[in-house]
Amino acid sequence: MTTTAPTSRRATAAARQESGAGLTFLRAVHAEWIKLTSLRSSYIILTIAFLGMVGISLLSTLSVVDMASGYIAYGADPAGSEAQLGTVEEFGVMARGVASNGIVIAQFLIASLAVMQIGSEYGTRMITTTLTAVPRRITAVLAKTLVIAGTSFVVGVVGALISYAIAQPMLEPHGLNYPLIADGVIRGIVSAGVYLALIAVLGLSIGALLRNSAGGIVTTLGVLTVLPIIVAILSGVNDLFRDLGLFLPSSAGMDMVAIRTAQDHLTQVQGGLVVLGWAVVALAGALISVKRRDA
Amino acid sequence: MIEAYGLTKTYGKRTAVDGVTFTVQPGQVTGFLGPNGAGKSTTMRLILGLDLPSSGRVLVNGRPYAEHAAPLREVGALLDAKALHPARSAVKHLSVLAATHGIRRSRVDEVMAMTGITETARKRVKGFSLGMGQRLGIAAALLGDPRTVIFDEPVNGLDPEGVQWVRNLTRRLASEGKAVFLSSHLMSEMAQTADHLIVIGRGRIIADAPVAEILAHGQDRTLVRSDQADRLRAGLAAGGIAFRELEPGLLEVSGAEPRKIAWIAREHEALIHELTPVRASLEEAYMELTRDDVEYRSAALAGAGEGNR
Repeated sequence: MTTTAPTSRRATAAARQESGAGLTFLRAVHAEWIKLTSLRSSYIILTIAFLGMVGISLLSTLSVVDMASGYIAYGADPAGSEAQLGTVEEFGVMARGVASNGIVIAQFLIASLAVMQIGSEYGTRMITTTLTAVPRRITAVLAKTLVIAGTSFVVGVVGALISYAIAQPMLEPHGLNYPLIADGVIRGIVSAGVYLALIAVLGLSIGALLRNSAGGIVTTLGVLTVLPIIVAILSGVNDLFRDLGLFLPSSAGMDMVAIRTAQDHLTQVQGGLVVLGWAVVALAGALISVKRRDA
Repeated sequence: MIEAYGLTKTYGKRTAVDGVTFTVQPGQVTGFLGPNGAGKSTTMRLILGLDLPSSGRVLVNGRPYAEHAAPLREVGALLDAKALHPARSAVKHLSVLAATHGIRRSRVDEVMAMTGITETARKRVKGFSLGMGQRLGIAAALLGDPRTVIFDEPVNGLDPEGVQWVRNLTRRLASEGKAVFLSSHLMSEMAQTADHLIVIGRGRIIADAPVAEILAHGQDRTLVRSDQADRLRAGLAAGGIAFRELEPGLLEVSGAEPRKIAWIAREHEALIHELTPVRASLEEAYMELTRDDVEYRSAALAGAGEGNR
């Protein structure tokens, strides 16, 4: 053993030098990128996420336009309608927010795709192959996380930008169009990307913890949709639950991308930190689980 | 080279691998034999760090698998040919693995050509036959041109031509100086392929020796047909030679050479008209080994039965 060790190390070094082949984090990321892009299902889900994003934004824009034209049709005065429909200033805020509204739909698709990134590997036992090629498990999971989070970020930002571009000609007749550099617009667009990225991290982590695509998707969508409903019902019982509801990822996410958040809601930064907190805690749990459990 | 020291793996109450110590040497094919559930696959998973040992440790090429800078260049493994995403094509599957180590694209083409899957490379692996799946798994194992190769039941689902191919491949890999660790339930296959055998039963190593030595463990016998079987029986019994009467007039004699048997027959005036030496097959030697183990285990369990209840 003692005599063969130096020889084998030299041989290994030679083999490595010969081809420059060795496992690195960036290479693991590259591998995960090939995985994502070599499955038709990825494209289908990402396309639907993108279309959903733009579609919801389009509906929001139509709604703003409709309300604005209704307001203008009423004329300056009718007291009741003014309170109901809001002021011109508020239309402006709504209009500036339409680009990011699409995340309410896109998050479900992104979350599902993220769960599948690892859930399907356990389902198909591909995880065995993955962890043989990348036996450093933290590297393997972080590479996956980076790829799906990065992709989700791009879908969010590009989706929001295109939504912005589509909205402008529709808003223009009502004087509600605005430049990209207007207050909070770029922040809202980037936040949409960041939110989807963090939701992807949450989904992937839940997928890694449950090791199952179906269970992971149900759980993640449950956190995003069912939990807020339960908390909303319970908030009638105790005010504590109302406050708690603000800290759920979907609610915090809406505050995060908002142009202007409600008085009793989280600020954009707070919302972002809350969603980040969910993602980080879930990912930490996933890393510990993957590291400790048998593959 | 693989070195396992006191490797143990328990799943809850069940001990799958029980204090296993062995070495797989470079430059030869080491066969890993054992009945189903004996702990072969678990041992292989432990080697690759897919399962974490309950105690003991295992090194490949001098260190734990995960600690190598280029794991795929150290060990190429085919543990489960179905461990892949069915909707991905073979070439993409291999490209993913190659990407983790920065292995050049031409090597992917090389291993596909080597394993004969080039023509189906772009098809989804979902439609692959078991044999094609095995070939893809072997292609993946060879991707990093590893120094140690681990194949779990590689000939499963292969046609005779494929079996022959795997046999030649493993022999060639060993001749290139690689350590080849091969599990199979086909004993006859092992006899033709392996240089060294590690036999495992119920999680424990039963035998760890060169193939020739294991073969010697199985006793050679001689079939004798005689018209005066009663006289021959008496003669053999007098000489303290073990035999069984398979059918009237046909004895299976163990522990004596044909020449000796013929002399005894002559002394006792028994005419013999058949004297057939029967070589112990590896399969029989193996059955012999595992039967002892199973019997020992059953006895042990029976004794411990009260305690469990």
